[in-house]
Formats: sequence, C-alpha cells, structure tokens
Amino acid sequence: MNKQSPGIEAKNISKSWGDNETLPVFENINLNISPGEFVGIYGPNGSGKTTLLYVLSKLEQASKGTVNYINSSKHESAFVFQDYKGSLYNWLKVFENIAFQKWFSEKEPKSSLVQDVKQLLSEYNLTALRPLLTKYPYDISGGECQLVALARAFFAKPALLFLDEPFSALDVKNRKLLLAALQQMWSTHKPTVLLVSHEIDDVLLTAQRVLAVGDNPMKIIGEWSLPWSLPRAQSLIVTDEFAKIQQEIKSKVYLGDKK
Amino acid sequence: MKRYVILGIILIVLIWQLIVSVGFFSQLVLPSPSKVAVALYTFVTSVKSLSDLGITTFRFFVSFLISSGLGVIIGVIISRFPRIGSVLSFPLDFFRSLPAPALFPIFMLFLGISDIARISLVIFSSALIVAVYTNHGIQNCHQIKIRAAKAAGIRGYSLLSNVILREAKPEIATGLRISLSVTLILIVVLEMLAGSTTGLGKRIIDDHMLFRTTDMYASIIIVGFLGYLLNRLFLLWHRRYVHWAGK
Repeated sequence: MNKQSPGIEAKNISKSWGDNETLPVFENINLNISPGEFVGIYGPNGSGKTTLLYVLSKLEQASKGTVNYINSSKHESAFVFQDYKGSLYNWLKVFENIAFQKWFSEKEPKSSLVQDVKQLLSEYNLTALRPLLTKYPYDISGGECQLVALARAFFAKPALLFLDEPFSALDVKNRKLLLAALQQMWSTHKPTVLLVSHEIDDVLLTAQRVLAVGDNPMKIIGEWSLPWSLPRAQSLIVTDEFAKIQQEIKSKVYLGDKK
Repeated sequence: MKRYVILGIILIVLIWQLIVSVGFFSQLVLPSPSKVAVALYTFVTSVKSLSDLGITTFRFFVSFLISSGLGVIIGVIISRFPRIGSVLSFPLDFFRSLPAPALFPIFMLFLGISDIARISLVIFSSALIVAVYTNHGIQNCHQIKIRAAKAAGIRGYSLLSNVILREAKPEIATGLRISLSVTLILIVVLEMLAGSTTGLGKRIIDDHMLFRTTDMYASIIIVGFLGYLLNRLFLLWHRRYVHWAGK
C-alpha cells in the first residue's frame, strides 16, 4: 500500500447550495474510507453524487460536519471532472495539459515533460493519445478529451483520486482500455479512489466497495463489498454472480427494494 | 482574398476621382487623388512630417502599454476583492461613460498644457476600459478550470497567472482591442486641441486652418493607415497568443 494514501473520514456532513444555503443536497452523511481503498458510489442523476465528491475532496466546504484525511501529511490528489472538456486548459497543448501540475510549477524543468508523458502513455497502453499530444484540446473530440483528463490524473500519481463519471464519453474500446489502465494504476500505486457513476458496470468492474445512494435528499441506502479481486477482466460482466449483484444494487436504488 | 482588398482600395480612389471629375466641389475642398498622392510622397520624404508620425506613434504606444498594464492590474484587484469592486463600480462606470476630451481641461489645470496631461488622460480612459473587461473576464472564468487547478494543489499567484488570467485572456483581449481604437482616437483628438505643437492631429488641424487641404488629406490618410496597421498588428498578436478565444 502507498504509505501516503490517506483514509477519509466524514462525520455528519451536510451540504446545501444557494446564497443562504437553502437548497439542501444531503444531510448527516457518515463515511469511512480506508487508506488505499477503491470505493464506488452509484446513484441516479441529480442525486448529489458530484457534490458529495466535491465535499470529500475539500473542493467545497461542508455546510456542517467535518471531512478528515487520516494518516496523511502532504499528498497529491487528482480529480477527473464530469465536465472533462471544461476542465482541460484550452491554452495548453494536450501533453502540457496532462503534465499541467508540473507545467505550472516554476521549479520543474519543462524539457523532459513530453518524454515523461509519452512514457506514461506506453505504461498504461494509451498510445492512441500519442498523435494528439501537440494538439490543443479544442481540436480533439469529446471522447479524446476524456482520455486526456484521465491521463492527466494518472500522470499526477495521486495518493487520492476522485473520479466523476470518468468513462461517460468513451466508446467500447477506449472504455475497456481505461478500465484496465485505472485498475493497473490502482494496483501499482494503491491510491485511495472514489469513483462516482450512474453506470453500474463501471462501478462493479473497479471498486472494492460500492455505496448506493438515493435522492431527495441524498442518502446512502446500501453498501456492498464486492467479492472479486482487482484487476478484473471485462468478461466478469457475463457471470451470474455479477448479474445478481448488479440486479440487487439496481433494484435497491430504483425500486426502493428493502432487501 | 488579397485581390478583394486591393479592389476595395481601387474602388475608393475611383469614386473619389469620379466626384472630383464631376466638378461639384472646388479643388480646395476635395483635391484630386493624384494631387494627394504627390502630397503623400512629400509626406513620406519629409523629416518634419515623418517625425510627427513618429511622435504620434510613440504617444500611442506609451499610452497603450501603460494603460493596458494598469487596466489589467485594476481589473484583477476589483475582481479579487469584491468589496473594492462594489465601491469602485459606480466611479468606474461613470468615468468610462464620460467622453474623455471633456475631462481634458481638468487634466490641463492639474498637469499644465503638456504631453503629460494629454497622455495621462488617454491612459486614464483606456485603462478604465481594460479594467472593466479584465474584471468581467475573471468573473466569468469557467469554475471547473479553477477547481481542477485547486484539486492539484495550485493556489495563489500560480493559480492567478496560470489559470485565471489565461482563462480571462480572450475577454481581456476584447478590452484591449477596444482600448486600442480609443487610445488612437484620443491621441489624435488631443493633438488637435489647444497647446499641442506636434503630432499628426496637430498637422491635420494646422493644414486645415491654413487651407493646405491637399496636405491635410495626406495626413488623414496616414492616420488611417496607422490605425489600420495597429489593428492588423493586434490581430496578429491575437491569433498567436489568444488562439483559444471562442473555442
């Protein structure tokens, strides 16, 4: 396990938006995530998953309650946003975007960054991005932008990784590649990962533990520890056990199944 | 495309020549293109007129560069400190709406009838324009870009220079483009006003007073080309350094 990977402890957190915090998203949520754990959060559109991720990543402050990172001093964190395209910097080329943290830092030498990025791409089998490295984000497709956003997160070698619908724009081939890359990254560096998705398969193919959330207001309505070890093969999808768990979680979220 | 541009020039000259040929106006009001062409040649071969062109260009660059820098700094301050922004919002809008030449007497009272008074007024008005656009550009920053940087631990000056100002740059550039035109207008207008001894504005007004109409037209054409060139220069800069604007 990565020594620096922090655990996350959220105590009674609530978050409301609006000028006077009149729009509650969730109330009194308690969460414990162990260092190096891979947690998937599954729930319907508009349930507040992104807001929860913002609060857990400390990009937004909780209206009430506290979020603490356990056993971490200084750590690198990375966030892949649902608006992956908006989160890229249009004035930087693709490779500069991937290495943006180092690119922005005055101290780091910039000459070797292209090489570093290329090495990352071959390490994670993402060589499809290679011809795009010197293009600008506005000249590549939406799916390619999402690949860049993910590569950017991998490049940071984060101890804490937040993924908000990270595969939403990918075609079957790239989705498969990225699922593999993500698992490879997790297996080698063991960061603490929080992945949010409304795609049950994304969650089931990657996470060790799944939290299902319901909406209005958002609350955690179920929790599953997945029995499969990582990395997982895509073929897992066709097994009966996968289908069973998938059905169980879905019916809990969408049918309010009390099982 | 270039061919059409040249066509536009030829068209103007043709219409001009046509009006002259009809003989509706005296040569004093509207000299023929060929006469003005001769005056233009005299202009570009005379040290005195070239130095007037040089001085106007110099005043322009000094005012434009200082007002751009000041404007961006003021814009950053008011966008970063909302209280200061609220306090300054009325004065900024007021002075921005006030036609600058109306303020010239005040500037003259304080700074004397000098280049300092003229350039200060131009800087004052142009900086306001840039400040307003800079503030607006920063307010409209895509929040997700700032969040992405913050998530990676980028804060403070690095966040401002690497993300916020870059994100606001297309809008700042719009402000700069407007301020460029305003700066040139004001420089020439103020050169026409009391106490001025040099510059293209002064030339135009003197030629007008002394009925040297042909020379006046030549100077006006030179000012036109100066403005046109400055705009082209700006567009070149824009294409290279703000290539992501509108994308």
